[in-house]
Amino acid sequence: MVIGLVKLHLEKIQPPRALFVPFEFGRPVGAPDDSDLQLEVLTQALNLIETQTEAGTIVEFDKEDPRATPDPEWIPPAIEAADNIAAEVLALKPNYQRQCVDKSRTAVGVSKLKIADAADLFDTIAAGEAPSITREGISANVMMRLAMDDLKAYYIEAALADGTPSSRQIYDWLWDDTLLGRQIKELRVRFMESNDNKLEKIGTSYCVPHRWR
Amino acid sequence: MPKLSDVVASQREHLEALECPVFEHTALVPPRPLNECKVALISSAGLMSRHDDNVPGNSADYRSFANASTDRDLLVNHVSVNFDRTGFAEDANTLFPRERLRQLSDDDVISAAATEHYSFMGATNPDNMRDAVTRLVAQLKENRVNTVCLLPA
Repeated sequence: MVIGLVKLHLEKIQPPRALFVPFEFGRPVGAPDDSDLQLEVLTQALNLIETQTEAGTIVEFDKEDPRATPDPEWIPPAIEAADNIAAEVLALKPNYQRQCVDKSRTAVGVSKLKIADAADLFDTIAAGEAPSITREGISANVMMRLAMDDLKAYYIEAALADGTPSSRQIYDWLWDDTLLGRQIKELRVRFMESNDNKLEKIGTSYCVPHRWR
Repeated sequence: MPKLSDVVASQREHLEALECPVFEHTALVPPRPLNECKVALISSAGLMSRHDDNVPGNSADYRSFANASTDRDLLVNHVSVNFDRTGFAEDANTLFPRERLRQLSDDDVISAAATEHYSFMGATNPDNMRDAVTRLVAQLKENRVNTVCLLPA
């Protein structure tokens, strides 16, 4: 049984049992910290095993994600204009740490770098140098992409420390109001002009979401 | 990164043009009571454990995640930047609802949650996943899992 986020794809693939959910990509069972909604989605999907007798029917979940609505009370982290990402990361540290303590976990870690080292790596690349740090089995270009993923995850968690912002609020802040967002967008343009095919591909596809390009 | 009807034109065009697998036959196992279902989750979010190697961007293989383990070491290593990561950052169940499945098992709604759940790198061409899927199916049968829930990212 499938939970699907793109109805068109469900219609094309025609899985035996499918529940289409009207949520944003990345949230197949709905809102964070909303166990009732998550249970409802999962139960409705699993119920298809018990109730559906014909293949290819797409059932639609009829509730929206309440966290898609902006939180008017949310205030983005207060950060002074920073000269580089290392300084911006340091400014966000109290927010990030508060969120980590509150959740007892962090989604930062794919690069396996300390966040200060990820910031330093980003700053050298933003200053015009080519990606240079590697790890066994990981090229310098991929290492840079992973460091960017960790920095974005760090900023997201810092933004979540106060209030319940929608994803749109967080990403608008990250991409438009932080030095990191602005510099990744600039790097994207530089990478897309690179003669290095892999770097060009990272610039084209793996730096900035469609909406904020 | 909202639902398809709200996404920006360039992303919508990409998704609308995406080639989808076509199956000659759609198999349908007969309905069975939910309380007889042993359920495994299979995600396409490119999940990894903090202590494991990264998932390569074109990986056709899958990773296993114990039902009993916590979400503390669960990371998203998917190459795509076009799906929301804020929900996962706040609550891993948003993307990989192990806790909710354990709840359904504890409440006897389902027979049991599988001992392992799984994740693929969703950016990989599904045709390349054939061998890994064959191995996974054998593993599921060995563990007497009779129901899977496929979750997109």
